[in-house]
Amino acid sequence: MHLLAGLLIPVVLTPIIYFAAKKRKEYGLALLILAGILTLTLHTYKFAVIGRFGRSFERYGWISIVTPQVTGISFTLFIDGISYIMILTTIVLFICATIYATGYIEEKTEVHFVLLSLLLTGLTGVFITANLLAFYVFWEFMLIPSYFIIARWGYRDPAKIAFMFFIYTHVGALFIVLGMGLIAILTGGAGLEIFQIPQYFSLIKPFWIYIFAFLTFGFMVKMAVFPIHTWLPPAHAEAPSNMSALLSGIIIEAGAYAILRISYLTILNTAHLNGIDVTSITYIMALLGVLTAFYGGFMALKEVDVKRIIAYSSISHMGYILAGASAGVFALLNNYTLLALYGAIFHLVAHAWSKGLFFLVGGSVLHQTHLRDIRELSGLISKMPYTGISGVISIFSIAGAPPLPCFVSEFLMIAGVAGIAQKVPSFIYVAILLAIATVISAAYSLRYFWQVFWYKRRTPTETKEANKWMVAGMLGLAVFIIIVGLMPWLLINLISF
Amino acid sequence: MLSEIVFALLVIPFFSIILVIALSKHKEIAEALAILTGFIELALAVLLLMFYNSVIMHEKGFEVVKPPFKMILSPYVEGLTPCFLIDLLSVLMVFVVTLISSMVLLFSKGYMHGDPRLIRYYSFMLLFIGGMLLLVLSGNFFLLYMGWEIVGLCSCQLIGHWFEKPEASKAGIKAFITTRLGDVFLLAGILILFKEAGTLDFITIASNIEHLKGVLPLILLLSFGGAVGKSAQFPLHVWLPDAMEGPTTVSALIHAATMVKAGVYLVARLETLSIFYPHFFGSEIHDLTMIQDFFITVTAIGAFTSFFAATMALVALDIKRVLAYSTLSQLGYMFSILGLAGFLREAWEAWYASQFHLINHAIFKALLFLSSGSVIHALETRDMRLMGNLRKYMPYTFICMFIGALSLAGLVPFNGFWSKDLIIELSLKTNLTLVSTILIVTALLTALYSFRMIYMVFLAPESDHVKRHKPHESPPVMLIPLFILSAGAILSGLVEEIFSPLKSSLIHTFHIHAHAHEELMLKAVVSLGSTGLVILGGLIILTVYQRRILPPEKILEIGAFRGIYEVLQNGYYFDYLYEQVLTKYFVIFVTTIASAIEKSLWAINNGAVVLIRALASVSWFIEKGLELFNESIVLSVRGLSTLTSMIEGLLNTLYYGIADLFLFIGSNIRKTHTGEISRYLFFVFIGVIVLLIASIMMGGGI
Repeated sequence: MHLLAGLLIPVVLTPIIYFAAKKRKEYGLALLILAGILTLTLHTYKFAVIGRFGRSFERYGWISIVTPQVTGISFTLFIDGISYIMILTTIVLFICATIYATGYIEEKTEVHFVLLSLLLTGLTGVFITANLLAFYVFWEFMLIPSYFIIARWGYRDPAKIAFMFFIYTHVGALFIVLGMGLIAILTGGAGLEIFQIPQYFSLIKPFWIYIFAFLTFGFMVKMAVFPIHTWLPPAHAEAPSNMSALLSGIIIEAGAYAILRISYLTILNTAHLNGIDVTSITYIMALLGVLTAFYGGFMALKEVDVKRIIAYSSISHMGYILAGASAGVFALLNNYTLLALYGAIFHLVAHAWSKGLFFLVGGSVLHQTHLRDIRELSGLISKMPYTGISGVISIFSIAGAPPLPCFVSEFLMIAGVAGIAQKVPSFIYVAILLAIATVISAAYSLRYFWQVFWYKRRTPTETKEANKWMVAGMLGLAVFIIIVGLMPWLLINLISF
Repeated sequence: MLSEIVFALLVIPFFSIILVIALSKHKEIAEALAILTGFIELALAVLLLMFYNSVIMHEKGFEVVKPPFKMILSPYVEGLTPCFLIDLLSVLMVFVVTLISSMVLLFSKGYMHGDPRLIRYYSFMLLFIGGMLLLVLSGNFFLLYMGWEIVGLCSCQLIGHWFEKPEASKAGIKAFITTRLGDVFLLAGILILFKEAGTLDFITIASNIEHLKGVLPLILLLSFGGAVGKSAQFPLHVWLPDAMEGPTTVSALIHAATMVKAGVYLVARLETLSIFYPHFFGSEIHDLTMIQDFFITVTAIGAFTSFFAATMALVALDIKRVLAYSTLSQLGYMFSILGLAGFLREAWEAWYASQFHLINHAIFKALLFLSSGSVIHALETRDMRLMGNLRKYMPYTFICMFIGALSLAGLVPFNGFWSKDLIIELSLKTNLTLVSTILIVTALLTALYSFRMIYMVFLAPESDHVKRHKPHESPPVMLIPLFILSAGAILSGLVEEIFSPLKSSLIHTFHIHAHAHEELMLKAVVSLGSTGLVILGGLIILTVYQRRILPPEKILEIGAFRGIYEVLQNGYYFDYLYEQVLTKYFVIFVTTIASAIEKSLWAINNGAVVLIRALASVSWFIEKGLELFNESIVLSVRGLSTLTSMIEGLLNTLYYGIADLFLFIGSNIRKTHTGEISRYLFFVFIGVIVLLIASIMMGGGI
């Protein structure tokens, strides 16, 4: 019951949040935080009971309650190390972004909070559902509040951008439906259970490559891998910044998570066990990741918009994750070093928090100065000290400087890929290319930092520090980043396969 | 015992940062805490040194320490388990780092007095110390690289401490990105090492060095790329002179004494791992010629940088830039001798010389920087043309800086002499005449720029700036570190007893027996020669500046010298080349390509939109056409029905009309039927007449 309760708490609290936030927005915030903490506590309890290497399921009748003739599709929830890490990442980022939003969203806060609360359910649901159909429901469900939040509180031309975001990810979802449909046709409903796909693999074997391709393509649209990333920069740049943080921190990483969990650890793994050679697939995916990493980095070097730079940086980091996860899965299948996979999963956390904070910082700059071009901003670190400190932490984390977490995860990924090269030498190119990509990360993030926070122009930007809510949200997230950067093993030790 | 010391060394700075930040309301306490931390670390380092001398040295010569608590990254990976290697190299580096950092922190109390961002300053200084200790103590390449990047971050932040100045902020960013460029080479080296060895653990690598033979040259060269970036060797030297925009204390600690030595440390570490330690495991490489390329590269870059930087130091006008170029030059010495290790019969002698010079240089260069800090603090300028005759106002600083300069120049009892002489002597033992010539010429240049600096700052005629400013001697808190370091600069070379453990443990560690036949003749010639060079340098400066027999202005009037001067002042135009040409065009190139792709993707995106719109319009037209068609059918049906109804009406009219007509006719004809005979007869009569007329008219055939 814990997982289901955790999933439903935000939805159940929605009406109360609405009326509470209407009275005073602090009440709404308190309730949202409460919802987040309750959810996290329930999941933590469940995870603590099963331990690091366990996986716990909760199964509920679903469609069969209404139509008894449909069997085999049940509403299955589960939790294990990877899911738990994603839940933890989500809720920490969610709470900090919501505290930030209390000061940042100036109108109709109560509606915003209600949408956030619904979004929380969608986000949590994606990470803990073990049935593809249920997974798909939550996958689409996250879109709805996101759409309204972008369309209502966004910046330039938000309705159009939100619509584009919706359509793009929906097209991606269409491919997921195709893949799911193939599975359902070939196996009946029972094959939709993610963890039972291995048992039914003989049925889907002739079509497995189509299923893999459809699902992966669908997830990759969400993950914004080159060349299907075009929805990301406008959506991230024009969304309200707390939503940008969630988009970049969780929603696109849900794509990475889904690729890892469903495409790789389930389908590819089973295909490998059935004697199919998947080396070239993983290698091509890893190269696609490298390409994305470079591409996003170069575009971030080119951009001058205070939020679009961060958006392109997200694309670049999704490239790292794709490369690390692809190589890591290859290693997992062949019993090589798992370092790259650990690195990729840890990078999900490190990037979610660092980039989330980066967006909050960018949003704070935009909110206080109303300027978007980094060439017009000047010396903000002395005007906005707290935003500046958060900026230092997030930007240097993205630049890959220790003791911040992205350094650890990037090193693990890159070294892990090099470790794979011990057995399959061609992977050394992926490793070295990824190492070179870190220079580009450093270049664009330090350029941003220098232009916005340090460099003093002739006409200094007149501005004040952001309000206390925004500062509290940013500093809170910064503390988490530093803790996980100094003690990465706290989270890495939770991962198991 | 050992693991506790090591762990305390590593952890205390981090805890201290937390306390400093927590105490940010009480700046004085935080400051005192930071300084105290520096001295605690120094005490721990001394403890470690003593422990090393009394225990480890007499055993294997190195010891691997595992952290007292579990922080395993993953159970599957052996090579990444955190461990620390305690050997001569790391112990000495720890000693240097803690000694200089404690002195610098004490000096900061005076120098940074009244700075608005003290908490930030001390936090990053402490983080730097923690990172540097991690770098030198780590027992595998993962932690080494982590420390390596931590010090890079601190360097960037501390150079940009006064980020209000555009030069300072730009220098910070430049330092980070330039060193990161080198770091990629180091990382690539580490990756290839991991690929080949399957581990990053120092000792495991050393014990398997035989199996790595094939890729060892590549790994060493790539890692040396990292050292070039960090130690600012040619061609990645451009960031260090700019880094002088940071506070002088930062320059002293990071950009002279410790961080820039990380590259030297790395190369020395690689040599211990690939040449010295494998002895213990019976897997040594007997034939050093296979890694000859590495040694040649290191020597070439080191020797070239030493000369190249010294020429720029000759003309620099900023007191800190002189020292920065001098740092580059001295680091070049260390690298060149490390490279010469491959050409000497006894490689360890070269290794020893480089470490000896590293320690001596750390002491005298920190002394020089802190003294210059004292001068800058008093005058608030770094331009040497605005100084002069400071001997009168700041006698203690003068004495200290003079000691430092003599040491840098390499005059006889001071520590710089011993190590530099050793380097030149060893270089003469090889047959690489070019290298030794460069090193000797550079020694003369070193003497020249050291004395020029001393002359311009302390002895030259008083400038107006000095007259206006009326500088006074720095407070004791700044002088005490200067005195301690001066004592160090005199003693550390003179009392070779301090380094006798170094030498004996080297011999012990590397299981090599020092050859008895010390070439005394060579030693004497080199000592006399280099002393002569220093004196010659002093005399030249005196003739040029003091006696003004050939004053500098006169020299510059000669065209060729003017040109050379311009080139040197601009640092051989490397900044221009990198910033205005290479970086600019590279960035333009790649970003243009990327944005072209992005634009084309957007074009595809927009094309899809246009296509969809077009399809929509087409279907709209079809829809409209269909509608029209529909309507026309409706219309025509309507028309037809109207027509039908009209025809119907017409027909109706017609039929009824005919009926009516006949009725009418009938009813009219009926009226004639009256029944009167006379009337009928009348009609018959008329009829006959009509017939008659008709027949007559029609031809009259009657």
